[in-house]
Amino acid sequence: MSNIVDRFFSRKDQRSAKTAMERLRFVLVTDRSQLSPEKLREMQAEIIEVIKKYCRIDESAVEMKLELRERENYLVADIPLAKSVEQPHEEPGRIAFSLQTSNSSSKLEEEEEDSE
Amino acid sequence: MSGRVITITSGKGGVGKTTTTANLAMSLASLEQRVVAIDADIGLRNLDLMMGLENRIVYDLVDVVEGRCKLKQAMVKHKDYPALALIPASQVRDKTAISPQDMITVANELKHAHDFVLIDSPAGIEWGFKNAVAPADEVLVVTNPEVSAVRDADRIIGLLEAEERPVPVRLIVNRIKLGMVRRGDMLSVEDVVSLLSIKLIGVVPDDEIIIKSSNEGVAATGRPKQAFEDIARRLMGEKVPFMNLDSNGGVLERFRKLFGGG
Ligand SMILES: Nc1ncnc2c1ncn2[C@@H]1O[C@H](COP(=O)(O)OP(=O)(O)OP(=O)(O)O)[C@@H](O)[C@H]1O
Ligand SMILES: [Mg+2]
Repeated sequence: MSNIVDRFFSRKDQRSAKTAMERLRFVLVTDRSQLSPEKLREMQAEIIEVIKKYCRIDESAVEMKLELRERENYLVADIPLAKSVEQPHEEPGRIAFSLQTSNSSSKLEEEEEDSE
Repeated sequence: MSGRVITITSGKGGVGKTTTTANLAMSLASLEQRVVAIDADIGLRNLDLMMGLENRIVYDLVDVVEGRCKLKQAMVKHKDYPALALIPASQVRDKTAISPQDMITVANELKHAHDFVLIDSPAGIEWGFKNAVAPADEVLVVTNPEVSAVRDADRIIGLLEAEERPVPVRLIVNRIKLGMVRRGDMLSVEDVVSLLSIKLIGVVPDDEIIIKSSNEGVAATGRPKQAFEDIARRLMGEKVPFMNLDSNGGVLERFRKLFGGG
């Protein structure tokens, strides 16, 4: 029964609001940081080159993305280090860092007065 | 005590700024506040129509700024609310006739004798928007649960945050259709708030009443009226719980509930 109802209300397809959320999350972070996906890829490649001068990393697993946290934007990177040959007993290390992009002006005094 | 200047803006056009300004002004006035509403949409005057005052206009904002009349002379008193007045936009000039400094001067003068100075901003992020937000003590951003309106709201909020002197910004989600939200085909208020990450001050349902009341140039009735009055009270500092839009599911909604759909 509920199947028929669900079909009647086209429950089967991905809900359009969910798609809207995904698209907006992506586009807002790009708008706010003024960093296009292409520029981000370029930057990622450059950063990897720099890191490679100092340590061995698992390049295929590097993940770098922009993330919304409240009204702040973060550049978040996961950069797994490759297993070291000299010290085979050690667990693989991992560099992880996050940078705040400078788009949102640095307001010091913030938040407070509860509104509603 | 000096009043507060509140600018209603949105980025995207047609999301309900003028409707909101008119109804908030009337709600505040019915709550015994002294209110003046300024139409800052120079060249596209509309607030007068929404407030039913189009036949009473003699002078406008540009006349004030250019010294052809006193501020008082441009204030059109509302017929139903003696404590509410409108300063209309000029219909013939364009927005460059006014500068941000002019708006600050006008708003400062009005602040003393009023509890609220509401400014209806034009759409966009250019000159007209800058004029409208220049004197603001607070900004209300109106958006619709729709991708382009949300994106534009985000842009406006970003610009406001980047101001030298950032002012509090709160969000109004207008034209929500609960039936669509329940079916998963419209962004919910929570979705919009989580994307924009600013404080919510009100939610206004999409309702034919708005069109009827604007046809007549009077305040909205029913649920939209309640929604605007809630916003007015929140502006006055009252804690008003958010309206439960749930009780008004459309026919399909009720049908779906009948069959136990979520
Ligand atoms: N909650 C609502 N329910 C139904 N219709 C609405 C609602 N809010 C606004 N509208 C309609 O949407 C249209 C645009 O509204 P309005 O003129 O207030 O928008 P605006 O943001 O001031 O537009 P502009 O950017 O052109 O100044 C009007 O026809 C209005 O009646
Ligand atoms: Mg308007």
